Amino acid sequence: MKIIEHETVMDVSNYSKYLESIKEHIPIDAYNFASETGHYDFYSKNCTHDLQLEKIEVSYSLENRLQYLLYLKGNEFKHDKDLKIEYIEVQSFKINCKNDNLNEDVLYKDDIKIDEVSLDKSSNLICHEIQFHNYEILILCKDLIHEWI
Amino acid sequence: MGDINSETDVFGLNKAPINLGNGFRGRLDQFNMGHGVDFEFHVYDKNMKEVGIFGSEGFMNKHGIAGADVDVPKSVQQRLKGMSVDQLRKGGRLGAKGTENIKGDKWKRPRLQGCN
Repeated sequence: MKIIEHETVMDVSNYSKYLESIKEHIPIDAYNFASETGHYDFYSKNCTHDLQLEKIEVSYSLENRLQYLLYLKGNEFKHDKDLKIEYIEVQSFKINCKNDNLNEDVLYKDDIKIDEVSLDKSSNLICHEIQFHNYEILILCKDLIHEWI
Repeated sequence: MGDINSETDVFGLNKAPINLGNGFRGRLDQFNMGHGVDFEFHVYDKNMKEVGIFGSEGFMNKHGIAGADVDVPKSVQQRLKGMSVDQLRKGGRLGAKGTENIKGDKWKRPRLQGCN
């Protein structure tokens, strides 16, 4: 992650300043997601912390552009809703395992530690990095739209 | 007590590395709230079903699930309390051992507020 610390203590204290610095360079939908009230309030029903990966859908849009849909299930002790994120014009979508000793059956039954939206200056695309406990998802795309469902 | 995250993780799961006894496992999540570090323990039963989230106020009350109704053995509850007290002392929210009464629910402290 570029700004947010997550190895031991999750620390987003420098992130809002960074987000404001890239506000003019990222689409409003992506900014709205990253800056949503409660996103980093770990006791909020709008926080991404503790959401669980439920499903990834890959399809082509009407404009024949590759799009990904990520479905994240809410934690019953925290969230009121699940979260759906639609990634527009995806250039890359990577899943990296962080724990080689895991049984594959349980690998993806995992919760989000924290996520970060940043600007990839070399491509001028958005990077959405989602850190789970056992793996990470890195998405490079043009925009992302989120919806609590 | 040492680093509770370093305890043997028999399932190879970063998700729940802490052995809470009686088949229960847990994970400590810590957050920098700007004016201190807050924490929560995610608690799982032997089938790795999450049974609750335990923080500085005890089990969280969400969706009508009363914290006091979370069904874990007393020894698990005591271990969670012990680890929470350690976290509160580490963060200066509870005095050093022997300086404050932590009997019953007296150890509990309000959650830290402050992060967006």
